[in-house]
Amino acid sequence: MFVYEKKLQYPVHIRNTNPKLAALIISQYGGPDGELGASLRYLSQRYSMPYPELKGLLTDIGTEELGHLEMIGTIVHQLTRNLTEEQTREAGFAPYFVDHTTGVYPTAASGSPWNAAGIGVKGDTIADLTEDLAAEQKARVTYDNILRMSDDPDVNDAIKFLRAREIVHFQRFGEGLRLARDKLDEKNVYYMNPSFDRGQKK
Amino acid sequence: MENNTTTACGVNNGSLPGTCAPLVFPYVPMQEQNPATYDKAEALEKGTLFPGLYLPFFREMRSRFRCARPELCELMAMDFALAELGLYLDTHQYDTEAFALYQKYAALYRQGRAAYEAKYGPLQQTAAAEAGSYTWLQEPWPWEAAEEGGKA
Repeated sequence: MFVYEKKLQYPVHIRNTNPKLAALIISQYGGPDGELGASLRYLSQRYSMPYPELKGLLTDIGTEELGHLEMIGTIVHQLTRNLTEEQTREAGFAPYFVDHTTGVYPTAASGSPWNAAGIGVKGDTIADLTEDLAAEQKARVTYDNILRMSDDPDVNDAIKFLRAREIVHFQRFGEGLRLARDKLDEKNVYYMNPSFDRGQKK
Repeated sequence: MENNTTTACGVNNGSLPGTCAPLVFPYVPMQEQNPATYDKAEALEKGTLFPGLYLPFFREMRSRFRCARPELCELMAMDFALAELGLYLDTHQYDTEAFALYQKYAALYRQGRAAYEAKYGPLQQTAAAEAGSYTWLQEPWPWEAAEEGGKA
């Protein structure tokens, strides 16, 4: 189960509103490489994972991603508080405003709502961990792109933190894949799927 | 060309036709045991406890770490060090020095958390039971900006 902690993982304190920037950052809330998808991908992959290290890793990273989702929601909320009527009509933000006012809704910056098609749960140890490695890189690139487009130091401070976490998670998933590989047939890692063929010896 | 059989190929080599080639497999080296660490406040600012994994982007601008309530940021730093060590231990469960550090931060976190809750109110809903009345709703929520009375 999950228990709520009334604090963020990292402080978010944004002084200036900037709805256009919020409309880009929302992608890490509900976009294809965002934190919602990350959390659901890892928490869902756990069930078919065969080894304790991998169950632990997916549980712990999947939980941390929920904290990141809350940080992104906080950034979007703070960037859109107390908007003037003129700001609601700003190019780049107006389409979001007409659908969601200043509510925080899981959608990609490019407009499509959050979609499970952006995540994978294959039920195969190697396939799932390889997807996770790619997912961390894609999220890292999205944060790179936000850093290119944002000139707000308050926003960038939190985004830098989130970007750094993607690199750590990539490392851990890579180590998880190494640990899994050590338990597989050295000459043929594809001999069986340890997520499914549980009784099969390597 | 020499006809290499599977058994003639070394460990971790596949059996591609006619040659012994290393098997194609995603490769991420394991982080070494007992790695160097930042102190917990610096770790939170950098986004990792480990200097070896701190790899910033060239477009990052220098920005000030903002903390309206230092006790909360101290708690975040302890919690972050624990989360980071937890992930490390998931893949390095036999690193006894890292585990000793994990125990140290866990003890610090328990104390820091109790002191924070006594002063400011509950971080988890059930901690409201320790107070004389239902204080869960009194403290601002984490997404509220300092300008709206937030504590971030």
